[in-house]
Amino acid sequence: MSNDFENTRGRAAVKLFREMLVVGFVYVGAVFASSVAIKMLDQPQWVAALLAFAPIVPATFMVSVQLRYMRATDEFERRLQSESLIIAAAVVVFASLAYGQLEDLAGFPDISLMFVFPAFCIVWSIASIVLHLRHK
Amino acid sequence: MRNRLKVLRAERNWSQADLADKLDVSRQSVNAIETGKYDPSLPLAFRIAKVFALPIEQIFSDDEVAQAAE
Repeated sequence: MSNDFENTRGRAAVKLFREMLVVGFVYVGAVFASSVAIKMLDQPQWVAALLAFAPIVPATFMVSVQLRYMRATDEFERRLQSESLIIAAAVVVFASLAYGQLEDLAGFPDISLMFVFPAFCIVWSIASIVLHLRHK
Repeated sequence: MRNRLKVLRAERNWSQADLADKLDVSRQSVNAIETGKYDPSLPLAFRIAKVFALPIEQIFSDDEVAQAAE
């Protein structure tokens, strides 16, 4: 027997994936464009700051897509996603702090803060997959 | 919290997917509730009671109360 909710959730997941892909490309493009503009153009620091923060606009659309997905799912899925987010936040925050100490105190090479967001997305995805597999 | 979801479902010959369909949740949610890995919210517990046409206390019971009864 088909499960209407599974179908709804499946459709919501496919829609989320498509929207996330589009908004993700726009975000990466905006980050790339702002990086090039900051490097190439000779502008005052406040303009550079504006350019650096410009990708926040497409980033807010990513948040909107994720929130709509969360609202379309059931309470158990929301709990799994919440746990995934907490795990990802904890791993990235504590790893960043530890590596920051190593950079400052032990002379480890500097890593750009730009890698924090991709690292967060990767850990979130892994945590989400593991939690879903546990309850399959 | 303990529950009799699996027994009640079996009595009605419903699969987990059938029950999930009636409750408008995912099959994983039903599985997690049945195995005690997830306690449903009060609104979902009421929906479960409505689907089985039983009072909530005949489906869910507190661990300590259930142990005392045994």
